[in-house]
Formats: sequence, C-alpha cells, structure tokens
Amino acid sequence: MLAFYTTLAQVSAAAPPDLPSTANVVFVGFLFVMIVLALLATITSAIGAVFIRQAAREAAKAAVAAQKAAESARSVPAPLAGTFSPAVDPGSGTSGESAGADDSTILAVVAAAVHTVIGDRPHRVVSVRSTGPGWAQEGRRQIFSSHRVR
Amino acid sequence: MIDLLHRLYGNTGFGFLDWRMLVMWAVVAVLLYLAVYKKFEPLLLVPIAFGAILANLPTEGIVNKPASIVRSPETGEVVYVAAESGRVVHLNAVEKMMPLTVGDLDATTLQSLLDGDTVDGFGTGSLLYVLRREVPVAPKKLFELKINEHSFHLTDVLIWAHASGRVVDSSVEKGDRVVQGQPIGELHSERTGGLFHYIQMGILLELFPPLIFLGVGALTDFGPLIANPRVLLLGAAAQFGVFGTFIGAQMLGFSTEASSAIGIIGGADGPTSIFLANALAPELLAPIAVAAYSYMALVPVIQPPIMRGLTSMKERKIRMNRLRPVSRLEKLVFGVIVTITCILLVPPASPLIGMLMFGNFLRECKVTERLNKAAQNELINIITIFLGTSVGITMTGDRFLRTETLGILVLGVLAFGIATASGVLMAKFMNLFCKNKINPLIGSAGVSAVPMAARVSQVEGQKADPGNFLLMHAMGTNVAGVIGTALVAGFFLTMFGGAH
Repeated sequence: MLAFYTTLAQVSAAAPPDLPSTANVVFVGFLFVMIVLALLATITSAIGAVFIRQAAREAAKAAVAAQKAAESARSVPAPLAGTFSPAVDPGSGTSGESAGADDSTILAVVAAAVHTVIGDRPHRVVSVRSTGPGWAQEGRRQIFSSHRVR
Repeated sequence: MIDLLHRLYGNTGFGFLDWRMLVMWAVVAVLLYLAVYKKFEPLLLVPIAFGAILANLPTEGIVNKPASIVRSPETGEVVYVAAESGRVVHLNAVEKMMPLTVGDLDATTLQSLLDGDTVDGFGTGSLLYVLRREVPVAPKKLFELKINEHSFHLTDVLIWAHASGRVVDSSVEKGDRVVQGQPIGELHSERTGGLFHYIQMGILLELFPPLIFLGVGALTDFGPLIANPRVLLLGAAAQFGVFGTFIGAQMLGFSTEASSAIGIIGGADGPTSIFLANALAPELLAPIAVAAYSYMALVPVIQPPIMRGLTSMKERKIRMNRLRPVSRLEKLVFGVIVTITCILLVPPASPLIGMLMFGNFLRECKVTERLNKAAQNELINIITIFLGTSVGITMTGDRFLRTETLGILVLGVLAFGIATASGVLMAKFMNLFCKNKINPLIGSAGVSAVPMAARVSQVEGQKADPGNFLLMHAMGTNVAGVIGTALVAGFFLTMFGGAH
C-alpha cells in the first residue's frame, strides 16, 4: 500500500496536462477505485459468510426446536382439539369442508403472530378461539382514540 | 412630472437588463419545462431554475456581499493602489463577473477605473488594487501597458471591491509584497449582505453536499449490496466514465483541476459534483451542477440505447438469484467497515463517506427513529432547497453563456455514456468467470443516480422478460456507484486539491 501511495504522490507532483501524465492519472485513479471497491467486496463477502453460517446454525436449531414442539404436540390430550373453534364468521356461510381447509391456515397464521410477539421464548398454542365479531368495534375504538378531544 | 417619471424609470430594473439575461430566461424556461411538465428531477431542477431567474434579474438584497476585509487573491507585488482611505465604492445592482487581469480590459476602461470614475458595467471606484503575480509567466504574455506614469503587465491581477461601501483602511503601498489571503484593505457599509450570500456559504464552506449525503444514507438500504457484494465491482467499473471524461476535458484544454470537476459529472452524483467543483474549479460550479442534475434527469433517455446496444436479448433475459435477507447487525457492521476503510484510504472523501454511512447507521440501528426521519425528510428537503437555489443563483448570464459551458455539457453527456457502457461491459466480463450469472443491464446502474438508474435497469429487464425483477440487484449496483463516486472525488482531491 505504501508503494501505491508513493505512485499516487508521484502522479500528484507531476500533474501538467500533457498526455502521458493524464494517462497516468487515469490509470492510477481507476486502478485505485477498483482495488478499494474490490477490497470492500472481499471484506463484505467475508463478513457475509460469517453471518450466513450463523444464520444456518440458528435455522438448524429452530428446526430441531420445531421438531420437538411437533412431537410434544402429538402427545397433547385429545380434548384439546375440541377447544379449537374456527375463527370464521358463522354468518359468512362457509361450509364445513372449506372451513376445515381454512382451519390449518388460520392456525398457522395465529401461531406465526404469537411467535412474532413472544419471540424465541418457548411457547405452545393450546387453544384458538373466536372471540366474536369484535373487529368493527375495535376499529371504531382506534379511530376514536386517535383523536384528542380538547 | 416627466422628470419624476424619468427618475422612476431610472430606479426600475429595466436599465440593467442585457441580452445575456434574456437568453438565460430561455434556459430557465427549458429547465422549468423539464422539471414541471416532464417531471425530470423536479425537486432539484425547480430550485435551480428559480435561483437562475433571480440571478438574471436586477435584484437587490439577494446576492450582495457585506462590506468587509479585502484579501489578496494571489502572492505577488502590489503595483498600483487605488483604494485610498475614504474612497467611495458603488457596485452595480446586478452581479457581474469582473475581469481577472489587466489584459482583459482595454486601456480607456482601465484608465477610468484607475481614476475611480463611474464605468458602465463596473460601478464606481470598484477597482482597488493591481497585483503582479510572483509565479513566472511565459515571455509572450509580458506585454506592457502604460497608463500615465504606471506600467502594467497584461497578466497583472485586478483586485475588485466585493461590496458597495467606503474604504476605511488600506494597509499596503505600491511595491509591497503580499501573500495570498493577506488582508490588504477594508470596506465598510451599514448594509449587511443579501439572503443568498449567506445561504451560498453552505456550498462555499462545503456543508450542503455532506448534509445531503447524510439524508441519502438515511434513505438508502445497503441490504442488496451486502447480499451481493460482487456488484461493488460494477460500481467501480462505471467510474471509468469519470476518468474517460477527464481525458476528454484535458484534450479540450481545461486545466487538470477543472477536468477533474467536469469528469465527476460521469459519476451522476449531484452533491459530489458540487463538492468537487467547489473545491477544484469554483468558477465552473454552475455549469457542472446544471449538467450533472440535467443529465441525471435524462438517465431514462441516455442509458437505454447504450444498454440495448451492448447486450444481446439472451443476456437481457438472465434471471439472477434471489438475494438473501441481511440482518440488522450485518448492515451496521458493513457501515462501520466502509467508513473506516474508505476514510483510511482516501481521507479527503471523509465528509461524503462519513456522513453517508452516519445517515445509514441512524436508519439501521433502529433506536434513533426520530433522527432518522429528520435526516430522511426535513433535513434533506431543506438542504435541497438551499443547495438548488444556491447553484441556480450562480447561473448569471456572463458566467454561464460561455463556450466552456457548451464544452462541459457535451463532456457531461459523454461521461454518462461512458459510465453506463463501462458498467454493462464489466458485468459481461464478470459473466465469463462467474457461475451465478449477472444480468448486464444492472451494470448501467453503477452511475449513482439513485434510484433512477436502478429503475431504468428494471424497466429494460422487463422489456426483455416481463417476469424478471432486477430492481433490488440494480439498487446494489447503484449504491456501489455512490461509494465509488465519493472515492473518485477523494482521489481527485488528493491529487489536485493541495490548497484545499
């Protein structure tokens, strides 16, 4: 790097606008930018490799945890299944078969939401129940609470 | 009554209008048309154009400098002192570029100026000193001009009053040697200077470009670049546009410093162009800034033909691998490493790189949301208004309507073309060795017109294959271009910015 800077200094000292000097500046300058950005690319790749490896380790750990959770879920007593009542609006006219098809999706969404809130702490969803058509009410509550009465 | 009307007319601005102003009005009209109706970079072109309107009207209280100390612009010997204590100076309302040397004036005008008379276009008593440079000049330039008992070389430097007022101190005499920056006199006036004199300080003191970079950093996601660091090479390759134009400017006879400032237009980065032009060629700031921003606005017009010309349909259809998600910690580490590496290698680039990465750190650390939002919105918007209008206000007719400007505009478009081609060709070259192919269309985004160049890559890619999404890959190249251009600016400052 010292030699490189010496070259830079030489070009700098002799900078009259004649063609060989111009070519020198262009060559050294372009090479300099290429080398610096190539260096950054190498460093970034190296750091990226560390993070990718770490992410892979975490993914493997999560897979093991998920497997364990699935095994323990299988050992949950039968009545638990009965506690799930699909969060589908009864008035929507969803037939039993299609409601059954949606159940697993809803369960997955609820489990994901719970995971987002709770994070990596160990947890298990044991019951998913509809709390009734309260969405409109919740929406109204949010609208009202967003305005401050003076 | 006629007399009153005559006096009233004399106090209007009509008497100060000249043909250059009218031509500049037409230039402003074109800029406003591009910005307002074509929506080409309106956030910048509108302030620039409006600043240019103000620059080409006989304004008062807009650009006037406050009366203050007069400093020697060069090292040399004082050969004439006109600034006697008590001398009244009255400059024209319209700012004008004053001649630099004795050779730029005719003998009659110089005689009147030395006598302190009112000269059309120069005001009254505006010439204060004449200085003989110490640097050796070619013998053919040593022609002498004799006025009364005084003898001047054509290369002698004219030192003008910068403001209206009264000379209250003149500390040098004929024959004294002065060094560059030495106080040689003082002007006093009750007036304090115009609005844009103070706003322009943001450019002269090099505050605005780094602050814009702070906002750009806060707005930029480096994730695509971190996920695919190879694109840094595309950003580097596109900088060949800068160096190619540097050669072109040298061929056209521009000085090395001016060539560097013109070349950086190829980096397609407005703040960097302003930063470098202000440091190396302040007299060319207006045309360089206008060329940089205008061509950035014209990226969707300039780039596609070059991209299509250099690639086959098969290459344009290349689908790139999906980018991996990048964690917050990785982005923070990247920011710190880029800051340290770039500043250690190119210290003059620190204001730009430092603020860019600082803005990005505010964004990615997720604990400074208020600062991040301020940098992304209020700060960058306010600075953009000031920067745009300050650039526009330098576009006076006598500065802008010169053959040099035409040369800069031609070189600017050449710079964009070479930069685009270099990026595309580099991607093709990398495809010779890489297993994961790169769509060469993202190479053009190595010019750092964020995010327009990336959008052009996406549009061109979808023309070839409507199901191909290149945007995020091109954004990686785009931000690599921003870092690359800042490095090139630092390189030029290291080389030619000795007195910076």
